[in-house]
Formats: sequence, structure tokens, C-alpha cells
Amino acid sequence: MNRLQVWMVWRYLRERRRFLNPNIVLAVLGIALGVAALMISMAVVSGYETTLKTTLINMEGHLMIVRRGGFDDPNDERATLEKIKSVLPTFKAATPFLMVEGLMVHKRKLSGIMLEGVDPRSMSKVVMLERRIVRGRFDLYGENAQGESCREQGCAIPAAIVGKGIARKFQLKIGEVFRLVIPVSRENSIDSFRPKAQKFVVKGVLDLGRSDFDERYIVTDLKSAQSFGEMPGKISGWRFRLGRAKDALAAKTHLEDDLGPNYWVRSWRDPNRNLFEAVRYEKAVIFIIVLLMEIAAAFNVASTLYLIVVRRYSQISILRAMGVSEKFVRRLFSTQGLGIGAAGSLLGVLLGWIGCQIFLKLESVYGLFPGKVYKLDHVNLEIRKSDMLVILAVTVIICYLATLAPARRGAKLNPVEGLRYE
Amino acid sequence: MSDPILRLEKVSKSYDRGNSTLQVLKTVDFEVYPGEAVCILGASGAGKSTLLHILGTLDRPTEGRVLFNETDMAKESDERLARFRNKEVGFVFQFHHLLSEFSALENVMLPVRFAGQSEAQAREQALELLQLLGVADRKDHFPSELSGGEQQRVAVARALVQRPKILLADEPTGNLDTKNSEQIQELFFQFRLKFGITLIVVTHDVNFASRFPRRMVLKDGHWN
Repeated sequence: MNRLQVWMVWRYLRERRRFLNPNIVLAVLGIALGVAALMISMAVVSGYETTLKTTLINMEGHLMIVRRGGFDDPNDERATLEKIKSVLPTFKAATPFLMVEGLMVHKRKLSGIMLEGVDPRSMSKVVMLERRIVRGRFDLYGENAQGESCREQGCAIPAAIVGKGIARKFQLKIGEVFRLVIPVSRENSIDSFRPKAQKFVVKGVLDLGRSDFDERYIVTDLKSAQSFGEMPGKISGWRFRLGRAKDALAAKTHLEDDLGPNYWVRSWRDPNRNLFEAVRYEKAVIFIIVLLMEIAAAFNVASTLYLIVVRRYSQISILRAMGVSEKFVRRLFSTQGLGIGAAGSLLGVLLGWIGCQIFLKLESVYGLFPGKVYKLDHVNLEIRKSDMLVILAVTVIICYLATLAPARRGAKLNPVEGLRYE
Repeated sequence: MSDPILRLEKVSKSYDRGNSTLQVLKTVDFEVYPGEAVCILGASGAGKSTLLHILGTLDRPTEGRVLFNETDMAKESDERLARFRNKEVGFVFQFHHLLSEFSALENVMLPVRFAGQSEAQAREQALELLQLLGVADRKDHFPSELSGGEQQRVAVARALVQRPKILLADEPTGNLDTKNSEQIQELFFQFRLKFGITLIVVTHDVNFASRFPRRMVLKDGHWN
């Protein structure tokens, strides 16, 4: 393709009295719709993948290591942490936590919950829970028995930050006190429990972005969780922040080998490994299905070019008489097809971007995204450069392939026949 | 006498029409010398246009040889023939066959651009020809905005812009009124003298034919 061919194609594609030939406009629109559909669908799937990843990392950190039975001995705890740090090349921060499972009993309703005790000082370096507060504050200081503010950990009525699903189910307000019940082992017995209840005061409501977490997750300070669970000084394990999210995936296998079977190592990807895999396959399947739309549009390009070849038979003939080769004619029509493809791609990118904005607006107003099904209650759209490159490259290739047959037909026309009649 | 610039040796051309074969040219010999003016006459269907197309390499003979400076053009590649038509041959047809999306100037510039010359060079050559043909003031008009005579003058300018050695014209005045027809005829002979072009014209116009020193009549696919 040279400048002369591009110039000639431009003159052929536009009509002098109208701006563009209507057949060409329809062919361009077909490609544009295909590109826009591909772009929006890829943006939704990529956005879902990224939102899921960010949500998980904000909540759980990059890596979580739990020792079965927890850590009772501070020396053992410190030594293990140092050992783990030495294995993690991009280690940034760690925070301890204690998990306690229990029941929430409030306003004649009952729900299973997961209480997590966190260290307020180191937590913010690893997880970003404070960013997900939707009501109240991320305040882990509770109240004393008289209901006054208590500026230390382990208050009589500890603070609780609850998931928004729990807040909705129990109609909790900020400052409201509720009760949790947990089973505590009786002394000298490992399979006999007694119930233990504890009041908590609601300080904030979290939107964890995942409906399954929002419906069971409650955060309190580490000391209060240890005291409630009658496990003084004990932690379940740590959460870690690393330099990059993908480092956690490589480190996981390494740590599992190093630490042995008593430890449970979980990366941000693990709780939803199947979901991430499904998203990957879903993305490929959606791409192929939507691509069929574009292939259909490419047939329209081919038929438009056939029409042009027939309409311009005498012009092709005179070009041949002027000294144009079959190859030049073939390239002239291929360039026309590629021009239609390029114009369709550009328009498609614009339409796709507008479509994404409309989707985001509708999503924020009407909540199009079914959170229960997809485990996220909202999704951001992400237009990835790599997705765009693939979409544009595939579009150009399809358009080029669509031009081959009509271009060949145009090149092989007998110029003598075309010159016979005006 | 110099060697012929263009020569046909026992050229036949036939077309398959399903079960039958239509023989348009029957072992035709022909030669034309540099600067010569030849008129080909004949009834409709005698094979005049086919002969002209074969001479201009737009069509290939079924049998025989087409020799340009002793090179058999019938055996050359499409690329080589395209270069030959661009550089050595100019075509003028009964219908002007101007490209409707391009202005008069652009139509005349195209053969020069196809030869790989710059836009400036093509513009200069095209303007010179349009001036010689008296249509320079219509250079920015599109074919549909030109009269029949102007359209044919632009078509002649386009045929001559590459300074070809041979000008092939198929009924160039067949679609024009008497006045325009005479002007075009005059231009042909002027340019033949000015540029030393070899002129081969197919026509039904007896007056036009009478101006040629050499006239040949084709009848039923062979010389009469």
C-alpha cells in the first residue's frame, strides 16, 4: 500500500455530493458495532477480574499464613515470622490476626459470623479495610462498662466493624450494641464446649465488595478477640503485603515447602482460584462469540467491495489501460477494505468507550451487576491495552481477509469487457 | 526504412461461447513504423477494437505474436505489460472513460503517478497537456461538469501525458458533434507532428479516415 493508493481509495470511498457513500457507511458501522461489542465485553470481564483481585487484596493482603492451632509462644511466633520474611524477596509488611467463629444473636435473628481480631497499628500497612468503610469510621476502640469511650484495646464492650450484609440483616446503626456467642472449650476437655457471649458496639460498616464476606465478616481489635476467645496472646497467623500481587503466587509454593504441613499458606488468588480460571475461559469464549458478530460484519465489507468492483468495472478497465497492473488493482481494493476496517475500528473504539460509560452509569444507578451470583456487588470496567491491541489486530486481519476475494475479482476482470460500454 | 515499432504476426483471437467458438481475428499480420499514422476501417464486428486491444496489450491473442521493438509482448508478465501500457502506449476511446471521482487535472496526472513520478512532476506535465489542448481553465472541474468535447480533450491529454510512442484510438470522435469531432481530429495530427507519435485509429468517420496516409480495412477478422 502506497500513498497514491491511499489517496485514490479516499477519493473512491467518499462521494462528491454526499460526504460518504452510504454502502461504505453501513459497512463501517457494522465493523464499528463489532469492535464496540468486543471492547465492552472485554472491559466488563477484565474489570470484573481486576475488581475481584483488588477486593481480595484489600481485604486479605497478598498472602495469609496460618498455623494449625495458632501460635501460643511469642518466641516461636517471632522466629517463624523472621523465617517467612527471609523467604519473601519483596516483603513489605505483616500484621497478625486471630479468627474466631461464632454466632450473632440480635433482634430475634441469628447468623453465623467470622470475628477477626486485628492489630490496629500494623493492619493498615497490609490490608485496606479503612478504604471500604461505608458508614461510621474505622475505629477499633470500644466502650467501657459505663458506655464511655475506651482508648485502648480490650475494652469491656469492644468495637466492631461489621460487613454491610450483616448491618442490613440486623438493621444495625452506628453505636448500637449487639451480642456475639462463641463456643469455648471447657477445661480438661477437647470436645466439650460452653457458650460464651460478648457485647460489641458498632463503630463502622464495611463494604467488602463481596456479598459472601459482607454477610459474615466482623472486625475487632486483636486483644478483644483474644480475650473473648479466651486465647490470651494467641494469634492464628499473619497477613502479608508484598511488592507485587504476582509475587504472592510464586512465594506460596516456596513457603509451603519451607514451612511444612502445620502451616496453611493462602495467596489472594486461592479463595477464588476456580473463579479466576472461569473468568479466564469465559473471557476467551465471550471474545470468540462476539467476534462472530465482527466476522458477519466483515462479510458485509466483502459484499460492499464486490458491489464496488461491479460498479467500477469500466474504471478498473481504464486504470488497466493507463498502465495499472493486476497487483495494483488488488491492492487498491484491499486498501479500501482496510480503510473500512480502520474507520470501523476507530468508530468502534469511540462507541465502545461511550458504551462503557453508559454501562457504568446504569450500573451505579440500577445496580445491573448481580452480586450474589458473581460474589462482587459492583464491578469497574477496565479497558486493557492488551485487549485493545488484540481487538484491533483481529479486526484489521478479518477486514483484510474479507477484501481478498473481491480484490482478486477486481484484479482479474477483463479490461476489454469493461471498456466496451460506458 | 526503420524497423516497425509494432508488429502482429499471424494473430488470431477467438472467444469460447459455450458450445461454439467465435473467431474474431483470423491470422492477421500487421506492422506499423515509428511516426506513421494508420487508420483501420471496417464494419461493426469486423474485429477492429479487438485488434486495437491486442496492439495495446489489453488483450492477449489466442495465437500469434505481438512484437514491440521485436519483443513478443504476448509472452510478457502482467507487470511488464502494465509498464508498457503506461510508458509506451496512450489510449483514447469513443467514451471518454474519465474517472468520475477525480478532477480533469487529476485524471491527467494519474498515468504519471502510476509511473512513480512525484505529484509535482505529474501536475506540471498534466497542466502542460491541458494547456495544449485548451482545457487548462477546466482543470479543477469533474468529468460530469465538462462538455462532451472537453471530456474527450481531457481524455486525449491523459493518453498523451506520458509522451507515449504509440497512440491507439478507438472511435475517438464517434460520440462528438461535427465541430468537436473536427477539433479532435486536428489535435491528433498536430500531436503526431509535434511529438512524433505513431497513430493507429479505428473509425467509421469517412472524413477522418480520408486524412490518413495509410488506411486498412478489416473484414470478418482479416484484412480486406
